[in-house]
Amino acid sequence: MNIDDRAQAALDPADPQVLMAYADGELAAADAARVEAAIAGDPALARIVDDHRALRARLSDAFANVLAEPVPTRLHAALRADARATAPARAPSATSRPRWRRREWLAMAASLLVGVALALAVPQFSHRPRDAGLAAAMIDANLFARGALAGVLDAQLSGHAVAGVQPGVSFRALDGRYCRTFLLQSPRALAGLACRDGAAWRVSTLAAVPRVEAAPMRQAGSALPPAVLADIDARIDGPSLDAQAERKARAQGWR
Amino acid sequence: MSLHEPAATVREALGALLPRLRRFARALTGNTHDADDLVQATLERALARASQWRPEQRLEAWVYAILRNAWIDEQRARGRRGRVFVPESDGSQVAGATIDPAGALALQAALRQLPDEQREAIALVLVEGLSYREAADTLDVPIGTLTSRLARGRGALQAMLGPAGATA
Repeated sequence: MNIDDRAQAALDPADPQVLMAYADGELAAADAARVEAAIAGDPALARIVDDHRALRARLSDAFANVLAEPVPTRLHAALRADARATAPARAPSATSRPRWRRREWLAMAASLLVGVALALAVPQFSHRPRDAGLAAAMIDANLFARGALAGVLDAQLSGHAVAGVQPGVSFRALDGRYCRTFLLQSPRALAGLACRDGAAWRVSTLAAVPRVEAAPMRQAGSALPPAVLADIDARIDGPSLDAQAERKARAQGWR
Repeated sequence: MSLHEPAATVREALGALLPRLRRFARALTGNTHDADDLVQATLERALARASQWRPEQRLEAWVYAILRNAWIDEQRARGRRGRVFVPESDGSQVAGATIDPAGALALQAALRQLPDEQREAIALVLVEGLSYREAADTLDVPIGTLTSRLARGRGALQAMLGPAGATA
């Protein structure tokens, strides 16, 4: 920020915008030193700076993969086109105007991509419910646990990790079904919520676990990403099951 | 084509900027297809107006401004400026499921909830890594306006997403 001498004298290290500018590396050295001194003695201020940096890192990470994607050929073609042959600056002609696609196709394509990416990354899921066609299953984004995940959800009590899968908490949902949270260790740390659907486990939420939380596979409840916690909040009916209630539910096939 | 010709300079710079333009467009539009359509419109406009670029101006900021204005035009053309677009994640949420291995969809959904002016500030500074001054110049607003939009947008995102560096 452009802060002149007079403003510098009045710079308040606890000012939210000053802390934000500090976190973004926008302060001059002298101002930055003042903020550093202030946050060294005040964990609350340090926390604000950390949150700013964490959000920045999260945004940066979320879009970083775009840089690695191959650039579509139509964009290279647009770049090669003779400027004089393309539309005039003020009023692009109908022919040079990009085709904005239909939302239905877009939503479906996105769903397919997500599904395929997930299938490649996580072998413990199936997109195919037993009683529906493959296409419909993908459009509905129905994910069902399979393999180790299904086995662990069926058989293990909360907190018992097997084959890189750890069930977290179990509870009854508002619709009466049993739901269980889980953590997956590989290929990357993922947390999710699955609810009983017949003899299968339907996965309603799956989200990456922030790296810090990923290493130790314990404290399953507290390590859950916000998306999973929100899903639990939306479904849970009453308290989560204790070990005895889990055993009873397991004995009844979670039905 | 001479390298000293503005059009050739702009064309060359646009080629180098393509990946970043696609990223900025993704952050603004929230979906891949609109983003690439927007980049295509931006390339066409920038090439058509290459003679308007002045060498003392940062070409990156000039192109980002063209892209941002093209997006405003597109939204006006759709009559939906400021409204939320069909999110790319809709397809994965049809059955109430949220499938988001990288957390990126949740973040994009939160970004779409922001007012345009806050999303622009966030995209330029936090996604593209522009300085406050560069971002303010790109948006043609005073730096104080930029910082207050950035602060409001950040606060809103943090409220929607929870603490980004949540502790276990």
